Amino acid sequence: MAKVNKKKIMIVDDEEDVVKLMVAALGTKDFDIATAYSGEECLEKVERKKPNLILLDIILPGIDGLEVLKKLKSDVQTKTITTILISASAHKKQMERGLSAGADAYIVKPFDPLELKRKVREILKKSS
Amino acid sequence: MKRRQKSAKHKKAVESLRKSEERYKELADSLPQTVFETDERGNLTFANRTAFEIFGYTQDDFDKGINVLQTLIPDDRDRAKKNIRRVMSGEELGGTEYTALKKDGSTFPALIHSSPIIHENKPVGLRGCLIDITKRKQTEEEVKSYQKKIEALINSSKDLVFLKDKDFRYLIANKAHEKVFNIKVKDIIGKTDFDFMPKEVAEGCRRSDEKTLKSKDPIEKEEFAGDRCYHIVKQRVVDVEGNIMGIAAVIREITARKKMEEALQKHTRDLGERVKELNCLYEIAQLVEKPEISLEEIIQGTVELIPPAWQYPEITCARVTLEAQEYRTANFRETAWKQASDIVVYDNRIGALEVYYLEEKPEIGEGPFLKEERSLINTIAERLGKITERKKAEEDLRRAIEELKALDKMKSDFVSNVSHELRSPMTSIKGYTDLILMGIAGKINQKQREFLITVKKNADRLTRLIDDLLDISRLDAGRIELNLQTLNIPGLVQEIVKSYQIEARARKISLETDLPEEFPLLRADSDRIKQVLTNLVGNALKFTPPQGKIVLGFQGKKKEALFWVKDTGPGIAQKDLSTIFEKFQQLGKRKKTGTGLGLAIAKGLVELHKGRIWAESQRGKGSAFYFALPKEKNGKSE
Repeated sequence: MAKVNKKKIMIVDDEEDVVKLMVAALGTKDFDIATAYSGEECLEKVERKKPNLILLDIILPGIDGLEVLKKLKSDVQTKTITTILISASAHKKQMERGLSAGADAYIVKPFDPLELKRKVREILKKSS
Repeated sequence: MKRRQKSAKHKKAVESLRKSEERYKELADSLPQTVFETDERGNLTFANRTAFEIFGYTQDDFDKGINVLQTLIPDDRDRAKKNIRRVMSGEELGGTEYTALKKDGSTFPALIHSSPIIHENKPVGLRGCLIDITKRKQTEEEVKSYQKKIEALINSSKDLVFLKDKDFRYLIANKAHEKVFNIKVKDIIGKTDFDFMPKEVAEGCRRSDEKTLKSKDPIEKEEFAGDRCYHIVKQRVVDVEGNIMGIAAVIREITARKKMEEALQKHTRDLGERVKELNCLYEIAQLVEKPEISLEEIIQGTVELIPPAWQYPEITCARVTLEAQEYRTANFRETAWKQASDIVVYDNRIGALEVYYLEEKPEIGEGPFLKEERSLINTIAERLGKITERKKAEEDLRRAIEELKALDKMKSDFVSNVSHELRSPMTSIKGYTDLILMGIAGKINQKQREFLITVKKNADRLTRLIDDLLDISRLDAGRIELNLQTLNIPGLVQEIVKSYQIEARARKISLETDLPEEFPLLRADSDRIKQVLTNLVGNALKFTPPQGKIVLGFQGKKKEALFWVKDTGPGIAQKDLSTIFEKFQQLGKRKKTGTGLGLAIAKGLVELHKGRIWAESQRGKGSAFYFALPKEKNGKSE
């Protein structure tokens, strides 16, 4: 029985294993999930997919996560999308910079799948 | 009649004779000088009135008879007797001086002129006059004494004192001449300089004498004659009528004084040169000590410091040639007047320092450059060599340090990259393990669960190791920036306790806190302090056996904020206390699940906060780890 009004989530990470892990952790039962493997792909898909939330890895080939975030926040169409930054603790500084640039939360890799789902739910609840 | 006539004639003749005698007597009496006549034995036969007046004799005395010798002092009488004889025999004596003796015994100088009285071709007596020459004698004496005084005066001087006439002949010369010219004064008088001086000296004197004659003002100068120096004052001398008489001079030998003056001048000049040299060397030293100054700037600066240190700065230029590189002063030009010194580095000649004079300076005896300048150029060249050596060594060191830094950065970057690269697979390993454990991939049995939990535990450990490696590499590279905020100390402590409570309880270890009522304001990076405390408490938990106790405490000291973690573990041997904060130091053979980096990271983070960390322990009695952070000064804390 498919839930109506499933929240749309876009996962952006260049590692396929990690993308799949997040998909599995969140579960397609509860969310409508789109994926992108680069910043460029994310920006290209975002207007079409219109996600409620983006899980955005910071270290990406090409345009990095912070750039993507800035572009999203500078576009009227996309600036209201909830964003969670994801990266290793080594990039904490960048994540803090991301928070001040408009990100709603960050998650440190490696993450607990349950913790990921809990955080996503919590933030979506807050922003709706 | 005839007789009468005859008698009358005789009478007339007698009368005439008598009148003639009277006139002769009157004439003789009117003279102011003594006039006398004697017979051939010297007995006075006539004396005029002046004679009587001067000598004090009376007519009566005369009538009784006075010999002319009686009018002279006894000492003169023998000479007088002889002279009388000579005069009588017709000899011309001219005036003869005697000392006359008056009747009252007093005496006076007298000059006597006498001649014989001839009768019928025979000398029958003596006729003469006596002049009182007291006055003349006195004048003569005065002149003599004055002359003596003048002689004494000019001879008392060691200076050459002389008077020459206008034909340059000596009128007066003092005794000092005798020593200088090795000639008697009397042999100088009437002579000219050419008669007793070397020709060239005499010529010099003549020229200056001629100049003196033409000059109204005295001529004063210092002059060398051979190796002796003289101070000369010459003045032309004019008589009462204004006619030029000659030249007066005082010449003083000042060789010794001159030598002293010259020595003093040389000393002063030498001292000035020394000061210039020292100043030059000092400024070079100053130049070298300037921070960030390059070898090129030092050498150029040194080259420019050289001219002021030389004797003629305005015509001095310099050049340093060093390993095919040239450094010159702005006015540099090669000339014939050159000085050079090699620049030697590590026993190899790598260049030279040259100093040139732009024009000739021949007045210096030692050639164009002073002996001091020779030694200075050598000193500067030597200094340049040393500076070059030092700068090269510094350069090598700097390059080595830069290479090391680059290597270190490479290492840090490598560790950082590797850590990140390791993290992504770890995310997958941990994540998928978790997913399986959650049952998302289907039901798992007990054994599978057990094995997966082991996988997960080791994945966690590997993650921690990666984090620690990343931290230590960033600490080493100084790439951790602190995010300083006011620290919530009790909050922090409670958070740590909470995160370890479950594990502590599971191992039956009591985890307690020891906190004061009040906490000081402390600025620190909360996450980093938490990391330190986590490491310390984690360590304590690892080593403390069941039933043990761990206390996490804090105390605000006067200048420091002191944190501690005490346990009832096995303790640490004294010899190990100093090394436990080093990387990869794990104690005991027993393998513990640590990275060996925890304490090294704790130390690095505490020191980044300008704090200190240490441990106290006794074998078997547990360990205590302390770290103290400096408190902000009042007003600085927010």
